[in-house]
Amino acid sequence: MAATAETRQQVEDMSGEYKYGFVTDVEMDMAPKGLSEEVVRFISAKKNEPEWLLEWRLKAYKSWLKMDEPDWAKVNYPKIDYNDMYFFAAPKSMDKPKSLDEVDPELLRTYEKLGSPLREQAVLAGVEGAPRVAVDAVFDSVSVATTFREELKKSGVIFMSFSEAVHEHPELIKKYLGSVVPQRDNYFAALNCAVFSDGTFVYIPKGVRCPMELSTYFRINAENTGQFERTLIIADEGAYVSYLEGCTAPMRDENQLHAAVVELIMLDDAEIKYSTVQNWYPGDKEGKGGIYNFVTKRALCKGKNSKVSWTQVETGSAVTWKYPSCILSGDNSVGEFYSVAVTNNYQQADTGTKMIHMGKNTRSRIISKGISAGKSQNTYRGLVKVLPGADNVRNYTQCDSLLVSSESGAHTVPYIEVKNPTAQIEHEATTSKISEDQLFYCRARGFGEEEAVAMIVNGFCRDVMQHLPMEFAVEAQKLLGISLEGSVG
Amino acid sequence: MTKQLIEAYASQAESLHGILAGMDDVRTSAMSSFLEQGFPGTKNEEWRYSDMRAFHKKHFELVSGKSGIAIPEPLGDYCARFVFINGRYDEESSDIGQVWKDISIRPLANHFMANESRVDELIKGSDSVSLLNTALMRDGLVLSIPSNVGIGRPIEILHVMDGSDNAAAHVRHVIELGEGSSVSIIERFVGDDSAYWTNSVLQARITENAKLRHIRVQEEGANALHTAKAYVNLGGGSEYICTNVALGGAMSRFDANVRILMDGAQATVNGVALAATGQSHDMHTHVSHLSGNAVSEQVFRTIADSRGTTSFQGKVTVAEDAQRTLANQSFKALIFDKTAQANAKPELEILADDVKCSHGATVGQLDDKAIFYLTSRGIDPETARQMLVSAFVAEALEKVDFDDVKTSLMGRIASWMLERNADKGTGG
Amino acid sequence: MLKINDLHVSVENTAILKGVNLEVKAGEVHAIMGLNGAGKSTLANTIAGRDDYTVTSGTVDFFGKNIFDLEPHERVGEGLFLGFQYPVEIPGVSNLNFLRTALNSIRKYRGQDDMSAADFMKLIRAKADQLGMAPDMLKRFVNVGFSGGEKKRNEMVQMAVLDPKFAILDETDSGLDIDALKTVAAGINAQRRDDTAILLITHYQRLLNYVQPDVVHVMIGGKIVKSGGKELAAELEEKGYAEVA
Repeated sequence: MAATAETRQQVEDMSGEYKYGFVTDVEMDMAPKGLSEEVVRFISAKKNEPEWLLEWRLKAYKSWLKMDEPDWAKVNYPKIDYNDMYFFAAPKSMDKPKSLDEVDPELLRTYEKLGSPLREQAVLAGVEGAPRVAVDAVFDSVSVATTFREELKKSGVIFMSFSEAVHEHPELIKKYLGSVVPQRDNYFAALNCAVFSDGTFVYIPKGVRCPMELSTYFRINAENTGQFERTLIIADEGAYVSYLEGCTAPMRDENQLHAAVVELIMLDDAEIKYSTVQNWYPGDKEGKGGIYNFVTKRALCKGKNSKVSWTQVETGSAVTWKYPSCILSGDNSVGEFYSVAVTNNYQQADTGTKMIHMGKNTRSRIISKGISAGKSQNTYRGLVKVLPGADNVRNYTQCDSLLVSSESGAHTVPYIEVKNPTAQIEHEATTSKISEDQLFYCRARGFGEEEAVAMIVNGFCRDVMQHLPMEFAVEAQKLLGISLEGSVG
Repeated sequence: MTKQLIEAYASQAESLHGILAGMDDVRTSAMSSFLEQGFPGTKNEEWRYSDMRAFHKKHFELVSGKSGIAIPEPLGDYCARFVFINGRYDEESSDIGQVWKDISIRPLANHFMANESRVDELIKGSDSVSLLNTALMRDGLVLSIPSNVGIGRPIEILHVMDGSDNAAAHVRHVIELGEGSSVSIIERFVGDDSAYWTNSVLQARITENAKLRHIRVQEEGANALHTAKAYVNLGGGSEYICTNVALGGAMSRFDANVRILMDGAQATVNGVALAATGQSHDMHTHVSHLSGNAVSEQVFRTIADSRGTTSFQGKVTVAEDAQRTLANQSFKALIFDKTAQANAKPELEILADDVKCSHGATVGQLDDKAIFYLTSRGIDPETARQMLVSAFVAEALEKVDFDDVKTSLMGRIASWMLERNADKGTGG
Repeated sequence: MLKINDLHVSVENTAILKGVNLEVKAGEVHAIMGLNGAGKSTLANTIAGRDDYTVTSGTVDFFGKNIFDLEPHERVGEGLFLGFQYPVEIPGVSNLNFLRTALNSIRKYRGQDDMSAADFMKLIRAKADQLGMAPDMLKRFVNVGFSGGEKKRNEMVQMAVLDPKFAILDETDSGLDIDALKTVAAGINAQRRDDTAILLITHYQRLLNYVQPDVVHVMIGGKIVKSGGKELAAELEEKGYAEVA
């Protein structure tokens, strides 16, 4: 944990750029460097896990050893040395906090600085009438605090760290863990299954509309450390929840790996709205450092009339590899994917979705907006698949790419596979340059060049941004502007 | 591939040594590249929708001779007709028509005899079927149009197969258009019911302000496999207009590889595919804009009925320097049956910023509202569907500039619909 | 000519028509007026044979035949014409091809030979001219890129060419400016003869200033609640549906 003061100074000097690049100085408990069966056992032991979960991890680890890192995405990065990183890092003070009072004050300050205070009174002390958001804060490998738990408990909502849930609700974990994303689904998912450290567990009981927004704030802090968290959300019959996810990391010269797995399950008439603002450290102007964001997110609309909506604003990470998907298995279920991906400097993003239509009368909608600036590469990759038994499927897809610089790339790779004669699938895509006329018009009204670009980009993304919860949308809008700074001229 | 298969193909290439002057080394190297990669499986992204299973098991042999199959009527009025039977030029059934002044048309063999250096201009390819074509080509047409010569009526190149179940023909056509010249060719493929394989490659160099119209009509026999590739290089202000019509065969695949090398060129690649009774038609395009101020258009319409599969993978790439590029792509598929399938992968890869590129893809059925509107004017449902299908397909045949050819093609599409209806016995 | 007897129709399990009775004789023009959702268009679509309209009970007798025994195109062969409220666009099919196929289909149904191309062209040019349609519109795709007025004019040209015995015009007057309205009225009046009948479905009295109906019906809640002479239309315009009905 060296040079934190220096880093902080750097952050201040570059105010307006990556604001979250500071490092928190806490003492850490780390697993031995590298990946082996011992490390998997170490993590499991650290978390005091039951035998079945250790077995589950080891099985995943063995599968992972035999798998290949995927190479089909339009991203380039040096080969990752899995033996040169730490797979587990937890603040030492964090062994067993019983309440927020026991949490290291340094950590509390960190989350305050990130704009996500953990003290409930601090949340309430804000603007009167501001919506309340319950937060699970994940710091490197462990959940450090979960707010509003008691209040949520009253309505039967379970909201806690994944590690706690393993002990408190083993029957739910056993039933659903890996049921949407199988261990061997892909290389990074298998890796996550072996070494996942913590994450968030949510269960919304039958007929309950979760009384507040739930959120997880992910923070990578330690050096040379990967973050491997799991999120598991189950919405029982007729339940509803809106879940938000935010991510940041310090500015470091070396790349760090983030390989998460998110599984959502919806039973009959249930609905989950999942929003992400991903702002991991993207690396510097020369493309040095930044997070490798290799994430598997999938929703299973198991019940009839269920609905899932993914909304993502992706501005961070050096490399993004992420396809939040919907398996529409219940009849009349609905899947939505709304995405904004901004890349600048040397960032690379390969992101999109899969809509797998299995049930009858299932519908899906995809709106994707990609903005490429600097020397970045931005790819939309998606699949719409209709299986033979899925009658009367409807899909509408729109993918637009905006090029802000002449050295960046915008790519669109949609797959459409239809095996039913009653399906109606419609896909549209455009790629164009940011309009000189619009820019000039804004300039003539007194906007600075970067302001003008930010303005136009925000307009371009409107169809997606309006699906974010209000308080998130404002943040995300600012973030778009910040991400594009230095992209003009 | 099995060891036997490898040996068999290797010895095929060897057996052709000495047949085309200067080709021996080219054959050897193409064959060794082919043997290294073998035939693609479905895991291969570019071949994901092509059913190549037959190739992995079966050994296709070169054949010669002919059994006197009837040569079909031409599609329309032509100015010359070149017939290839089982992959070999057949002078007897060809009709060169008139004396060609200044224009060089000759079989591939003579071409190489005349000038060995022409071998360097051959496109060797990198995918397995192009490599095999390079290794095993024996015949084809070489067509050079001098500068500023325009030929009005199309030249029909007819490929006829009446071989055995293992017969293969690897034909290579080489087309060169001088500055400001223009020519139209119709490549047609027919055959008997045996399970033969046609593997054709056409390479065209279209120099400044020249124009090539290329109509492909694939009406192979019911059990045939058909793989084909067109490599087209476009010079400044030149134009390439391709229409591919896939009707026959058990499995067919056409790859159009079009490169815009100089400013101001125009490329149009359109296609129609009708698949039923276990047929699969796969159409690929890759239009690379390597230079700016160019326009590319793609319109594809496909219909899949019982156990038929139609697939389209269309890629447009725009290089960094290819500013002011306009590229448009439209794919629409109809599916008429529960056992039918349609796949599409329209892809954009853009590295320049001053561009306008778009693609649209739809998969669905005929519009119910339109059918009702037609029937409410007294038209029976079967005719109504027929009219809508014709209208749907016609969008992709718009660039077939010869009315008689277009009428022949529309007639084939109409009879396909009638056959489909008759097969189902539903009349609608 | 057309006799509707206690007709009940539902759409997606919701009852829309709840016992409609109506008789139209040769030489008559009837107008059905009513607010949105009264069931006017449902009546038109049911008679024309559109899918999704389920007849739960009742009969429609057309020239002595049960109309529900006939396919939609067979009804046209018997002499029915439906003018659409929203004419459908059909890309790729030209107006000429469309009309010629339709006319010959009807002739075939009636056991007549196809009309020769020359006679057809003569007929269609005359009708287009009569209704002020530019000749090049005939070559364009059916309704594609047509304005609202042009689409309705095209409906009138189709009616004139196909020459039905009984025409139902579903809100053909809606959304038209005064010139287009006059064109539509001219089309209707030209089709008005001793051996034909017309059923106008409309919201407003406006069209009835140009086409004088013999009988006016008021439809509310899926039933005809009042019938009368042309003065009923004026009364509706003045007092509104609530008071008149």
